[in-house]
Amino acid sequence: MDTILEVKNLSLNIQKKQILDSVSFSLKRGSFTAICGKNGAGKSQLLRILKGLRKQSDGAIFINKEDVSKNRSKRLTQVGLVFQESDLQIVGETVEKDLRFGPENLGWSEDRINNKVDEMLNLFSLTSLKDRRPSTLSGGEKRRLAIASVLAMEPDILFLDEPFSALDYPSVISLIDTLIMLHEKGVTLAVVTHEVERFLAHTTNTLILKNGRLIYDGASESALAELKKAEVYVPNLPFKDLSWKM
Amino acid sequence: MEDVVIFSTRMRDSFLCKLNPLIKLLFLIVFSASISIASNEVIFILSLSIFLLAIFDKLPFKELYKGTIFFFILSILIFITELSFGYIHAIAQAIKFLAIVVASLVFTDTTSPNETARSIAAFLYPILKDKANSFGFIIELTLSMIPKILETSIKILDARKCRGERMLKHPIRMLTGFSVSLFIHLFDQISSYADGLESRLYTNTVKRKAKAYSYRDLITIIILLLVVGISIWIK
Repeated sequence: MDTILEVKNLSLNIQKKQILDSVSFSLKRGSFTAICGKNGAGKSQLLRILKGLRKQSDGAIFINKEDVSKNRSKRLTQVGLVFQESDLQIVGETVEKDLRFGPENLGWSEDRINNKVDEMLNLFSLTSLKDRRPSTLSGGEKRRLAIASVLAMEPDILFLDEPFSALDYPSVISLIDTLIMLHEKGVTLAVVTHEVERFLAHTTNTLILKNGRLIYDGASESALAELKKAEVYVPNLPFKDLSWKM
Repeated sequence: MEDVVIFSTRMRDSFLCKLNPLIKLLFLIVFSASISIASNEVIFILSLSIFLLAIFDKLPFKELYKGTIFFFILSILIFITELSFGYIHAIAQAIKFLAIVVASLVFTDTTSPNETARSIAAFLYPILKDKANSFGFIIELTLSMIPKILETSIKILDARKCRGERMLKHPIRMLTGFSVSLFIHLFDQISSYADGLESRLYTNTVKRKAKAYSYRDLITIIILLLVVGISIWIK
């Protein structure tokens, strides 16, 4: 597998506070990565920088071997980000219109947009909800719509910020199924979370952040001891059982 | 389930929702202008028509009561100030004001901000070219913020009430605290909303697809011309 994303010495300072400190890592195409760390470790800020919503203080970002450190618009197109509060990302008046929103901004032809919208409605089982107002959907359905809307823009990498927060058990299972399905389809996924017991068993590799520094970058199976060091709750279970989906 | 907030849209399969936003906007402007210059008799007829239209549109008056109480108070004030010109005139003026409010509510209830902005941008595009898209972008953002402001206000008021605050006890302290909370929340929300839009590559330069015109719009224009014609004739 070739490298799709490479981050070199990425740092972020906000009001003299070091939020990220020389973070370097790379993601392989088609990988499924967990980005872990306790609250305030810098996970969400890292995603915002990678997406192009925030400027880094220092460091370089390469996507498909191209330096996009100063090219925010390229990062906005190539990196997909599902916010923790997915409500903020949903802007269409109906599910279908929300799915169209991103592709329209990319200036795609009407046929291409229609095909992509149909594909996403089917892939995320949203067809029966296509005329519903997003504000009337359940938390799980909103999360699915947010992921579908971002994926509709065909990003190279998909980041999800705390996708399991505020979801009930069936919605978490449904979301895990969605992530597994996307991984099997070859989508490069990275999920930020501090709730590793919900899905870590399905990931291929793990990044652990502690106080803005990357303290682990390797296989998920070998990450358990480091996760505990980073004060992330990990139940005493074998790696293969670290999933709510049995 | 979400609450129904004034000036928010409930998209559904109805005649009014299917109308082109520009036609509805034109109707609203012409209706407001006509009723403003009309005689008392015409004010009653036009007001009755718009109230019937609101019932036909199934405008949720019960749910909207909380948000529209301010307009009712204003209409009472208008009635009191116009009393010196006679009862009929005062009633007509108060009803005229309420009719314009109801017409605006019907418009926003059946027309999404996006559709309105896109239709205006498409209408202006032949003259303004790319500037029309920027203009539409500004309208879209502004209109979409109105329900957010109202929703946030209601949430803050409820939260303050839950923590024992009573407006009549310390009105100035309450209003100051409420305003500060509202601004802080709105700035947060606007910032997050802007991030959400930017992350999905929303820019002011993209030309968007506007709603097409249909036979319904033609029917509405005919009705509109009749309203204007009758108003002028009676005048």
